[in-house]
Amino acid sequence: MITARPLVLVADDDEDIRELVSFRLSRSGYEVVTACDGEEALALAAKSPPDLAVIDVSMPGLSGLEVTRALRAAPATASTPILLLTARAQDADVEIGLAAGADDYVVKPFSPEDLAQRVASLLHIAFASSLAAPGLRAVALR
Amino acid sequence: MSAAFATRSTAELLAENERLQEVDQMKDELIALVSHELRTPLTSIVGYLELLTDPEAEPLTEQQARFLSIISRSAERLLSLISDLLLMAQVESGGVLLDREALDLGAIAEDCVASARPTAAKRGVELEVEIAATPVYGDRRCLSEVVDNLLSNALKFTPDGGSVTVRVARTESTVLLEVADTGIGIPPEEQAQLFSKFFRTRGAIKRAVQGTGLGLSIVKAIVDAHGGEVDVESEVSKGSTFRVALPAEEWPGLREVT
Repeated sequence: MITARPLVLVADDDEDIRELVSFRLSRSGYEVVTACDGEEALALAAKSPPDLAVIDVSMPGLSGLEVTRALRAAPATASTPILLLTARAQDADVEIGLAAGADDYVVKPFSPEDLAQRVASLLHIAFASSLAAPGLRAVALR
Repeated sequence: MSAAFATRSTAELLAENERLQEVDQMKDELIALVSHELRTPLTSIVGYLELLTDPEAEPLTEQQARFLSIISRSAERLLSLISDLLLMAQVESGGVLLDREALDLGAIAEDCVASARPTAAKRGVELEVEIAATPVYGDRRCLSEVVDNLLSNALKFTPDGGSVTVRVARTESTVLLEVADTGIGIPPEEQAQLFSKFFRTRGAIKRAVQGTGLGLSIVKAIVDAHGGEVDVESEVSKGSTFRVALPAEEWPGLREVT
């Protein structure tokens, strides 16, 4: 089965930023689902595994880093590209995020255009590697 | 008697030490919190501004576009203030942590000059370069910050029709970065304080030049961390020249840069 539009999961506790990211990514043609905390993000991901996840690092309850680790631990999302949104510009925080399994990050405040480009390139890479190893990923991105 | 006194003061010192450590930790936590709390609303401001001024958005009237550019400039100022405060806090709590690699200081300076060109053109200031490829072992982000800060100061304090020159060169033992301007200059009695935190010259205050007084103290902290030196030569109404000298040590891989 071919998914017509890549599904992107956006998790941020700030409503304005959820709308910002969701608006910009919808305009790029993605289907966007949003979660306002880590628990909701994991529940949504378990119900329908996204093709990519954009996750805020500092959320109440489960942090973005914990969500990243949980997504990596679940077979359905083990190789889903994850992009972190972080307000902490220090390099140590970024390293922790990447070590937790994230593929990329943007530092707040970010340019929506830049975010959209990074999302596109991560989806592109994921699609290419799913072609190289078709058994690994059950998604087809168009 | 003296033993009891000594014991008490040791206990007191320990308590005082603990208290200071708590204060220090509170300061770090406060900075992290403030940084996060400020960056989140700024993300909305900057992000939605971009959506409004995007080519795909509804066309704006000239006045709307101008007002939005003012909002955008103010947001940028806030952001650079937050970055400066964070960097300063980092410096205060144990110094700048350098991520060193073999770099070309000339290329870094060229990049900084390129991004300063629009500002220079708007101010009617000639921006000149005498830049040679110059290998250095340093932290890319920090060294860019040094050039950016010196360049932005030079442009701020140089009136219309003046010029700013950026030089990068290497001698036997030193890598030199020089930013010279034909600006308002700094009186001798103020030169010693220039690199202190939050210090602003009377000239800057009188002319209402925007700034926090953090730029040069950040420059000094970064240069110190690289084992270098920074100084200034200036004459009122003639201009200022800031000179940064970094040790030109031989490091593995440094040759590959040239």
